[in-house]
Amino acid sequence: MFGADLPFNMYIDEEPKASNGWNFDLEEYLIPSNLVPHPWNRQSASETHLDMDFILVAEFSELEGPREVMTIPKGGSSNFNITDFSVRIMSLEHQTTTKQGFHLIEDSQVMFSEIKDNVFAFVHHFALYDRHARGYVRPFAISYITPDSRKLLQFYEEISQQMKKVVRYLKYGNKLVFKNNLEMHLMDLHYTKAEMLLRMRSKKSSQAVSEDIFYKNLRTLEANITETQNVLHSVRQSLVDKKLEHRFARLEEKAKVDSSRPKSDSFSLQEWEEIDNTLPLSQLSGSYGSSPEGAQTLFPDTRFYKPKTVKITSGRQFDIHLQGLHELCSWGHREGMQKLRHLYQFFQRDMAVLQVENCDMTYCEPTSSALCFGEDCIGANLLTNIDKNCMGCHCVCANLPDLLFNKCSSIESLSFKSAASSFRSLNDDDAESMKSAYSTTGSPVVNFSLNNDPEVTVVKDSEKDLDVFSNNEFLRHLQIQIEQFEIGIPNTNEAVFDDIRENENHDIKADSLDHREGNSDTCKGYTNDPKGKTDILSVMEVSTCTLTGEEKGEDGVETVDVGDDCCECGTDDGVGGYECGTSDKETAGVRDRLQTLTSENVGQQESEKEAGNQEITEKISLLAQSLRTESELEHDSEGISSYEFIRQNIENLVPVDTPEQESVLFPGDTDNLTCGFGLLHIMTKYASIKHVIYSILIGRPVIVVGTAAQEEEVTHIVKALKIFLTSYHRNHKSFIPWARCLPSIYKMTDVKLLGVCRPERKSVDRFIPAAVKKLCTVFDLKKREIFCPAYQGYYLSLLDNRVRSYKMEEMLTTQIKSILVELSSKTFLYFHSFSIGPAGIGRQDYKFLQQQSSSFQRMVSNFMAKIGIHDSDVHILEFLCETIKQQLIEDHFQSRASLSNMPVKPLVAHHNLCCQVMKC
Amino acid sequence: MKGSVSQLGTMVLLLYGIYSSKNKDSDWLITGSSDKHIKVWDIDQGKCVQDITEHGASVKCLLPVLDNMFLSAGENLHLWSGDGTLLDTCLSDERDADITLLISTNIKNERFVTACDKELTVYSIKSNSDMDKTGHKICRLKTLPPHLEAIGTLIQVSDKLFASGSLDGMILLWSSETFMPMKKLNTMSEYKGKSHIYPYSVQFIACENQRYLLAAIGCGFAMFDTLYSKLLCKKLNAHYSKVTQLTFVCDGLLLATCSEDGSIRLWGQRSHSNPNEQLTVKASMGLSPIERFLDINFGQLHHNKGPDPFPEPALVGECLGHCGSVMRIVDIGLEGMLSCGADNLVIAWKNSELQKMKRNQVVQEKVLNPSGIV
Repeated sequence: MFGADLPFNMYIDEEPKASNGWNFDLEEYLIPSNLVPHPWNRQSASETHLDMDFILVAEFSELEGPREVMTIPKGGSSNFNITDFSVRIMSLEHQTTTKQGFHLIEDSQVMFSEIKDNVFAFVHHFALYDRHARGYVRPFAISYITPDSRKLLQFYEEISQQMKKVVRYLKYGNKLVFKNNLEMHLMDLHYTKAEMLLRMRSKKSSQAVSEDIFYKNLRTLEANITETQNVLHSVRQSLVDKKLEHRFARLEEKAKVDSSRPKSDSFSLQEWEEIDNTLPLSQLSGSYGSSPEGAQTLFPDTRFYKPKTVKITSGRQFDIHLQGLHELCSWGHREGMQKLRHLYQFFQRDMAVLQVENCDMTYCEPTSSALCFGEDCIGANLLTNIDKNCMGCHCVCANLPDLLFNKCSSIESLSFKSAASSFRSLNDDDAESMKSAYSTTGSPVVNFSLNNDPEVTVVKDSEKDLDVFSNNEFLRHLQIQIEQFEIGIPNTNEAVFDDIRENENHDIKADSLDHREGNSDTCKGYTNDPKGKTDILSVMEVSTCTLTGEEKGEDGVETVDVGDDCCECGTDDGVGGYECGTSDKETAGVRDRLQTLTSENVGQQESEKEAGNQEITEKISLLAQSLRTESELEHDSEGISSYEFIRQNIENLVPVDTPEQESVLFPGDTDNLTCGFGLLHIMTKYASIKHVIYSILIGRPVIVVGTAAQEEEVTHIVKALKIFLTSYHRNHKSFIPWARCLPSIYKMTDVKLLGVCRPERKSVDRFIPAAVKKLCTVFDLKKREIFCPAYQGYYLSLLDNRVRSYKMEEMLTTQIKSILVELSSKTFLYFHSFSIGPAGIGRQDYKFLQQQSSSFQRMVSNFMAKIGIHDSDVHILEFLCETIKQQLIEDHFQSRASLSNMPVKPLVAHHNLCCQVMKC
Repeated sequence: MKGSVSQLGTMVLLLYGIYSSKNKDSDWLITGSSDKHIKVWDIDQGKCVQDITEHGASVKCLLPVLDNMFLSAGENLHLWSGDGTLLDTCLSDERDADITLLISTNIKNERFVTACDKELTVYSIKSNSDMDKTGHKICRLKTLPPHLEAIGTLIQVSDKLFASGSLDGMILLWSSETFMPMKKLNTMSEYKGKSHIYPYSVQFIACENQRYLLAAIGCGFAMFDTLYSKLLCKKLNAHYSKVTQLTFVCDGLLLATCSEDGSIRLWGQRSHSNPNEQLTVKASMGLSPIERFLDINFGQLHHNKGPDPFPEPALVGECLGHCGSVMRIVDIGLEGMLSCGADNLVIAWKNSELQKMKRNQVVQEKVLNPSGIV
């Protein structure tokens, strides 16, 4: 029992006093370190504390006393004495029952706090039934333990509800198991009784002496039977949750199907059949705990149960090994634990995150006006906190003031800047973490600093030679150059230039440092160069590219298409030069080569200044490269902490990242946490993927076609692209990762994203009918061709341009989400200011259709231009808005049950888009 | 219902409300099929109220006659009373071909014309008070001089005229009074074409304003003026395959043609694609579809003031959705059109801008004003 080691502890308690008098030098490990255990085991206040949340499942074992059954995560908190805590919580429950005999025990929930030790727990007590246990009952408790009391107070309701759900699974599974056990036991008892009677009759004459014992046994047996029947009766009465039962049955069925299949496909079919015939299944599946008769099934066929004789005892014995939780609850355990893990995943996060999410949850209401993307992103909710009646009055009578447009445009610029700055801040943080990494490791390969101040350069005192690189003149020159770019392309966003500016500085510093560390001779060569500043500039550019290329080479990253001749030249020639340029001769050679390159480039660049465009792409790719190197370095220099830091940043960055349903509230699999995972790889691999994304965003069904061998790739692509799917629900058929054949065209109203298997011999043109091709975007994986409307707009191009700058999926996902949120905010404006304003209706008579539709189109594009949306983005916004309208209308008609008058959902919103074949 | 329903589009239009005098609460619809059944449907409830099996052969066409009767034709010709009782049967005279087309030629619905292969036959329904049992009888009046090839389409133009078109490309206009051929349109000498594909075959004729004919001829279409026997405009290669039907949609702004190639194409005048003030004026005058389509009013048209012929209509749009050939298109006013195809699909095509506007309205009026207070 749990008090069994008390004497031992007392002995230990006294021992330190005695040990003071001991003179022999015992090794430290020989001296018993057992102290009187304090529940929180806080040996010293500074050292130990509960540093993380965890979930503890504890049991009051009739053999051992309170004990820990399991913790989530495994091991729980490192500085926390779980056993003692188990004792503590198991002593909390007060079940005051006066009833006699078997009865079902109610659950109880307790909040438990230990302010002194900063430990708080939410404990849910419940009892599971076990035929072998004392009183058929085994008390359990699930506790959510946290150092943050606010979490429990603030989310009491949620935690309580979720706990109840978890326990519901466990208990119901347990009841079913218990019922089965009892039924079998009852059959055993009946069988034993029958056998006893039979034996008695046959041996009646010879065994007269044992008659007393026989009757005694028979009485015991009958008492047992009555008791079991009573218990069974009350258990059966409580089994009313048919839904759950059905769920378990389905799980079991699925498991049976799975287990009947061979684990691996290494056997040929014939071999498998042979095995199937010769060996029983139980022998094949040699997993631990699998019993040959499949005793773990929750829904056994009792007709085939072979009763056994049972040992007749009047009293019950409690020394047998009790079943584990998974045996007690069967499928309930599986489901419950899964739910419990999700609960943990959700609540273990920081209080701030939870609160922000909680606030964001309000965006979910009303659901019909929420613009959702993928599984876990709500772009905006168009009718949150809006009085419908008020709104309705307003939208019919009010005129659209011009002021609104001005507001819109300012909002637009603001929101964009904020988006850009958020990225910058991310980079800044990144840099901060890098700096810290620098300070700890002492010698980083390159110190990357994103400091914007042109005066400051990171140069060590010893390398005075590099002054030329921090020359103000030079920087000014760069600035001028950038300004020229700006003039050249007026529409390009400021943010890009900001990045480029940063990048310039960044490159210079990187460059200078690398020079410093790599080959100082070369640097000296530059300083002594008699040529003018222009030359230096050019050399700089060349060398910058070279260095970037060099780093790339060293780190073994795939080459990025820089897109400029001079850079490529520089890379080709320069890398070798720097790498082997240790001797003076070679350095001179390199210098010569670079100088010749320089003179060529000067002319080239001057001619290109006006064009500007190419330059910008170059800059962007340079930026991409530098960012890439950065994140790489971070990886190299053991930047786990900084990675975590960025992750946190990203989490905080997502403006409205609210789960829409329960399933997302407690996401199923940690791997699936980020919807759209793998997109980075896809976007870098397939060049024209933005057109496909565009198709998804305008509601055009997308079919990814691949042969059977490409199943993995197709599924991968389709799953990654899911992030862009609007109004996606788990139960909807809008998303099919892998279909064996093409669904008929009228199902395309539902299916929006589909991976489909094409027979090897059939070409895509034959496989996909012309009508489908007209309605859907087709992505042929084999030929790497996309048949779709071309995207010409800003947002997705931005994404496409920046994709190379991301090393981590999370960053890209965040970027995507921010773009989606931005689009949603524009949709918000469009919806409120245009669609439900007087401008959206047009004239009341629909007499002159053509004229009206074209004038409507003009009005839409005018409005969109005012809120800063052009070209293809207009279609995206229109579709998003139509989605919302459709949702609202559907919701409205469904709530009124007037389904007959409900407007039909359109098959395609944009029918007349010109499609073309694109290579990717 | 098994088998294919023949001429659904036409039938819906023809038989709508045929029993409304008897049962005023709801409209009934009669359908005939290749499964030899004739069924009567209650449109409002979507239920089959009667199943007539006595036709005995594949039903090719149905026609309401007189007040409360209808004809069904296929192998033979049957006359049915409103409640589905067989009144009379007119047996075919040992011909291989079935009766495929059936039209009435005057308002009273007394006389009707059947098309069977190359021949047109005129019948009339006579009510005979002496015959107690049936009361009505089908009488064959006349067999008209045959076409060169099988007749593909038959249509009533006006009270005095009806037209028939055949595989050889000829469109014959017949007098409904004398049943004599009045005019010949589109006469072709080499009508069989290469490898007997009949490139000028007339699949369908539609009539506008009791005067103008829209004919689906081969892979193209043409518009005729019956009064002057004049070709108004034509488009020779409008589709990749034969045009099955054509009709004006969206208030005459567009002419829709559907074809065996699975597409529906929309034709309009070039000026319509760039709406300007002139159009606004024209549109406001409440023109008929043909006027709007040809961009000319009847006054000018009747006085031959338009160009001769009119410029070819321009392709303004294409609706691709059917996997097989498109059988019928039905204009549903400004909303758009319906199409049904051999792929068992009925697709509704609508103007997306109009739908957007309508959705805006619904959202404003119903969703945002749930109480109805504006």
